[in-house]
Amino acid sequence: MKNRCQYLLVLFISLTTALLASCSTDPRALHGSPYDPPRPAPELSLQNVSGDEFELSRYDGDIVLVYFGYTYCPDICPTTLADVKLIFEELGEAGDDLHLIMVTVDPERDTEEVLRTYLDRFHPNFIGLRDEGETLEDVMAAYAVFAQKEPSEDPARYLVSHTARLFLIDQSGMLRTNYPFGTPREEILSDIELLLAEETR
Amino acid sequence: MMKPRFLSLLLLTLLAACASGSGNLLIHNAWIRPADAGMNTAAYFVIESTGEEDRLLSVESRLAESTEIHRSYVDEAGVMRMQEQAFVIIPADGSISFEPGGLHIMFIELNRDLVLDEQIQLQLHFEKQGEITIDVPVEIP
Repeated sequence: MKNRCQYLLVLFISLTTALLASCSTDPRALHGSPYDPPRPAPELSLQNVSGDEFELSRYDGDIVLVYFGYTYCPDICPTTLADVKLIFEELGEAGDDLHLIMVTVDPERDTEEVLRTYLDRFHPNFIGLRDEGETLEDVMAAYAVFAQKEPSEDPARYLVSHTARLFLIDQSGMLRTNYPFGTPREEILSDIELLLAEETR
Repeated sequence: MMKPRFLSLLLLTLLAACASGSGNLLIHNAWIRPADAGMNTAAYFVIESTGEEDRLLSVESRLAESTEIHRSYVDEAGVMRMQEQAFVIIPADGSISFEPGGLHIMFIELNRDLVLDEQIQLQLHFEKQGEITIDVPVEIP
């Protein structure tokens, strides 16, 4: 009888542990605007700064932050990228499993070279994606991102109004949440640490 | 133990040591983001007034083809936009902050690289106080 009780107890603990391990974090536990339930991240079928086709699936198993911006942006984009750079630094070695992808919404001025040089200023591992026309529009629509070139007296010095959200994709390629501009860096960092812990659970 | 009045005096002295000002305006916590020649960037600071209301009318520098006062804001659709400001009111006995995502001095098409830790100068033109020159470090806080 005693042996049977011990067996049932061990079985109960094992099943509970397995059940907990299979559960992912409650979507509501994440900051920003969580996707409940999480949904597959739309593919980023664009070219990287080397002119090669990019595939999001190459980063399965890692955490990805996606941002839509442009290099001539004087205020919002560099502030966001500087924050992400600090997140990389704060994560230390764990930051090796994190990637930042910036999709330019201003392909006219953001050539591959301009984009690469700009991103290198922040972090050499930041990935730049660039494409034009419908290809870019389709990806922006999939992420519900808006961008509009503003009228300017000098046609070469225009500004671009754009959605300034950071999208968080987990290790399974699922969109988990997105952060509006001004989200405290600590909140994004804590969500990434939560996803990293989810993986090791 | 230091008395509160002495502490306040000490803080004000320290603030004044790192700030620029004229008359009843004090400008502190200034910084400008590094960027490459040809690109755009922004500068930020806090303006404090200990007197009557004033207006910041313009900012001058030799850094860029154009230097403008702008404000970033989020519209009702959640899109980040920017709007040039003809002037910025500095409230009487109050302060106003230029900060990322809000008011900022925009430098369009830099004439040269702005390198971390160097210092640049800006001339701020106020309606009542006239011109105030400030030293601004190139940094990422």
